[in-house]
Amino acid sequence: MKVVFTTPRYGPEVMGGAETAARQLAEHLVAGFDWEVEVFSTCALDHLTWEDVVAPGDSELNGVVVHRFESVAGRADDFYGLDGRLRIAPSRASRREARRWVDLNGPVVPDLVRALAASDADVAVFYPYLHYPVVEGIGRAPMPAVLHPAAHDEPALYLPVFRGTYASADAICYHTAAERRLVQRVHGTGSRPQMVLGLGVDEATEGGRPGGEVLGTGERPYVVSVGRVDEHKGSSMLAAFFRTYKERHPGPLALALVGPVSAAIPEHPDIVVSGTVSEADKGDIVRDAQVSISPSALESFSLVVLEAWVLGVPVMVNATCAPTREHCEQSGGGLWFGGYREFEAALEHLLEDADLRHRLGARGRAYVDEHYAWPVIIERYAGFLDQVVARGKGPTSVL
Amino acid sequence: MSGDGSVDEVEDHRAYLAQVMAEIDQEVRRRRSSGDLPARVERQLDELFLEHSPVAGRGGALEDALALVDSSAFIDPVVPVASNRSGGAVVKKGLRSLNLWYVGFVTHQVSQFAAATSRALHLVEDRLGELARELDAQKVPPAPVVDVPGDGDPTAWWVAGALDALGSVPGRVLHAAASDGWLVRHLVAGGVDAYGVDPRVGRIDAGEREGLDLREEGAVDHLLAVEPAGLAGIVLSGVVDGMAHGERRQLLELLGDRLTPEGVLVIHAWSPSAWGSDAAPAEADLSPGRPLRPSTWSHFLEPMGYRVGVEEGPSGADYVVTAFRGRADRPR
Amino acid sequence: MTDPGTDGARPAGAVHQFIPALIPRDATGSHTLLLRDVLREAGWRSEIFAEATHDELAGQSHRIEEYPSQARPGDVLVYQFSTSSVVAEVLASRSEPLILNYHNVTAPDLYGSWDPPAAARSEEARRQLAVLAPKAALGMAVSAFNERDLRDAGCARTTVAPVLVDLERSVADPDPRTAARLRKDRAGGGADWLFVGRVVPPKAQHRLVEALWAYRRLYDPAARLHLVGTAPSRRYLTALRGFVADLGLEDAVKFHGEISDGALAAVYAAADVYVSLSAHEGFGIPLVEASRVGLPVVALGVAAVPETVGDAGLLVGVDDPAVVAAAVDRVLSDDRLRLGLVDAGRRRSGEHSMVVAGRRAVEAVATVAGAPPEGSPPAVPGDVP
Repeated sequence: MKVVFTTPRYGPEVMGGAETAARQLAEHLVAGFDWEVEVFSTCALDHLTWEDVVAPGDSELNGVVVHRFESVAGRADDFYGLDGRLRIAPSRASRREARRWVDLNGPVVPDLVRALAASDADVAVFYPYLHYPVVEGIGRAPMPAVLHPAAHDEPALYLPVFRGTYASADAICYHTAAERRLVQRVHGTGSRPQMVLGLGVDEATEGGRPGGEVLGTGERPYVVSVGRVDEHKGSSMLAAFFRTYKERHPGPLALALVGPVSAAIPEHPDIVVSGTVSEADKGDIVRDAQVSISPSALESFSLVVLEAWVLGVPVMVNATCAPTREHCEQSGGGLWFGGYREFEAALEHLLEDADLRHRLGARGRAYVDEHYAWPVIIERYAGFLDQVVARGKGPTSVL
Repeated sequence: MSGDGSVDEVEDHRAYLAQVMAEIDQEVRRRRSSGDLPARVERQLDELFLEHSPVAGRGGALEDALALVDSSAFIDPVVPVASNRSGGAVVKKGLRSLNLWYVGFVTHQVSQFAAATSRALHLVEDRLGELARELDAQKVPPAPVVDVPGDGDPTAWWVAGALDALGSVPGRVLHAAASDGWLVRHLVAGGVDAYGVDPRVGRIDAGEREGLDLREEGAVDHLLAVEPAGLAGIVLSGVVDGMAHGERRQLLELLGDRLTPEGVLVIHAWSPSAWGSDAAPAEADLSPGRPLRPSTWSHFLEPMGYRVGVEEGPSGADYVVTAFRGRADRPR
Repeated sequence: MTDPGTDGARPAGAVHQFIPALIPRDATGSHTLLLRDVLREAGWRSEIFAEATHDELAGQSHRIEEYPSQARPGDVLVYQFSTSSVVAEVLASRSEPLILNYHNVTAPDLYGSWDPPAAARSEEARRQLAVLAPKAALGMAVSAFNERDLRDAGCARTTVAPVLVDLERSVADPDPRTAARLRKDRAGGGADWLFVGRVVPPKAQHRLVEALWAYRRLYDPAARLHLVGTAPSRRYLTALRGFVADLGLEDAVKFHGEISDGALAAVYAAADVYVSLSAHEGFGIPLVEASRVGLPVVALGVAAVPETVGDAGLLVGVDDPAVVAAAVDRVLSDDRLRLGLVDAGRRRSGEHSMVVAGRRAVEAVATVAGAPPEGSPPAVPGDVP
């Protein structure tokens, strides 16, 4: 079986949920099933400029053959004006304006699309839905096409150009049932063959040091939030909630924010902003935390939550974030908060009751083992791809 | 030929007009068949213009208000005469040169709105849309999904016939409510590209783990997310029995739209007498509606273009409706 | 058509008109100004009350808020209905006898998703019509097509009275500069198509562009299309221009926009055929203007168009580009046909003379306002005693 993946960036240096997931799927298919796996991608590493930095041409990475193509254009300057205008009422844009958005967003790689049209793979996988290589490629793939949208409820999803993208998918692979509900509501893909796969989770890397030592907080108990320290990710909200919590519950509890910093968090004696740390350090920090908190409303899947459960740590999530909330509801491994009061109540409960923390953590771990451990994921995915190939290629969209 | 408009002349002219129109028709047909202007090209012209057209929104007064908000360049082109603002005269001249005069007079003035406000309003509109849909179909509660006698058993009396009817449809077939996938599995084994939905919590889990395409969703919600003519066949079991009028009407509309023109519909339902007996599930007492008599389905489906066949089950507890449209002959 | 008889109404001293917006070079606005003059000549006092007035016409009207303090017993009110407006609400709350002078409202769905605000205003206008029609003492429709709408809306007494239009503007002194420019273009050959009307989706200028494209491909590669009219829908205009560019017709399609009477006369004089694929017309004044200047007409036969054009034009049943192109070619190459159309056109435009139309309007108004007080001196414009 030969599979070709199309994704806008590829490589271990790439910081991007969708592209990382694509690489992991590709590598696990090779390792687990001895399939032939190729990737068509660009020479870019930065998704804000798409600048060609890696050499074009063919290479091999962990058993996967990687073909890199140079772009004709990256993100254009006019993109921001058009994006600003279209995001107000994206479903009203004309197809022409919407296609222009895709072109201006970049990366424009006609060579990649041509190569894909000439490929002899049995099935083509596209991940995620947004960019030129996928939008232009999916309609031209001569073999059955599987689309992993990695979609959020964002203005771009409603642009009419993507109707054709979704219509050209012979099967769709979602991160969560919430994502499926969103995509099928917007693009009418309800009857398309699909699966909710999620993302695979590896065993945690640990450095063997106490978390308090890594953070410099000593013996103090602490809660952790992993991810970009950013207003959009809810970090400012979490810091504000935590400050209020500390006023009402004086004590040694600290909050650790672990991840690249984009927003300034006001100084506070009990908040530690560690910045980016190594995987081993991150593992140590999370493992020893009382609770892992995900304040973001904009997650499409949230590996962070699953990684906490791998370490047996209970979680608290933003109630308005459907995917993380779904994880908590399905697993019984976490609580959710829709405002400060609930945040405070949940945190109090968890901090007071070690037994509760352990139970939630264990449930979370069992959930991950059952659904998201790599052997389980890749087995399901390979079976799904087999079905797709057996079903054959459907009529291509003319949109 | 210039004349005084005498009656004869007017008659002549009218007769000539009629003749000319007929000749034009012929001319056009000739041109088309000779390839000068194939119909395909005219369709392409249409398509080309559609590229520039706004993709249709969902409509509604609030959406129109939003469009007013969204078009932040909107300016009231009619400026009252008595402008006591000092810049008034200058503004008026500027507007005139923009050629924005409306014959249809605009009575509302909209100034620039921040994008955030607009986005918030769109969210409100989405929520209102949802509410409107809910209210429309569900002034009474939705019907609960029930198991119909024999559901779960692929050897049940009606299943072979359903597989027959669906066997050669080109495209996907939906089963609602799919339960653990018992029928989907059987159809797939019989060569039908089937998948299923069931809103009852946890019902689909086992089947989904097995690799069947099952989703935890209600039938109507699911059909709303299917594209028009997106399904070649639909099997309903345990879905329609307790439906009240509004919900059933909504379902029928969706069935008509989401099935392909040659689509096949199979409905397996409780018979009214069994529904009222002690054998019926508890939901029978809780449902807002009750099962239709088998013949009533024809009353709904025939005007939609279906040819309807009805068969009552050997025990009298259930019946099956098979409806298809499009092709004159169907294997049975 | 219902022919209303007089019902013994008490003679009125004043017949005032109400209009949402008084705008120059606008069908309803021009009709209103001409009607005021006709009513005054018949002896009634007559003023125009508007919610807003273009400053070119400043002094021709009063603000609607002024009416209640100027109202006199016996006043008869005429509402120039072509769109939604707060004026309709004001009139709905008044008790004076009301004449609905109805110019038609474009169906909201013809705006589609191009212009939801316009579609919304259309909806609103229909609602207002449903309120005013049953209450009106008389519905004056400018065409039988419109009259049907009035009846459907619940107007009990209706009549057809043609719109007042000064056809002379189309044959006024042509602006020399415009005429010269057009002459230069025509020197290279090719027929000139003309359409006059606002650039909005219901007027279907994009269908005209398609038809021109087909015509150039099949019959006359040098033909041109002149579009005269304001473009209130920027979205549609942008799409139209994009479409024209896509088809390579940038040099063949001329967007004249809103132009002076002199320039308009020059454009009419330089045209070979008037083509309309408009999906909605309550009357279609330019169709009559075209006939007045001797242009044959090819038009889509919907709404009030057949009524207005009659046998002065070729009425096509579909706005199919090939059919329209063949029809235009036939008109321009068949002398007998063309001259017959032009003659019929001249006859029909004669029926729209101010004398004939004015008399009809006075007759209609008199069924509500009573016999006109001939002999009374006409009021001085701007003076509301």
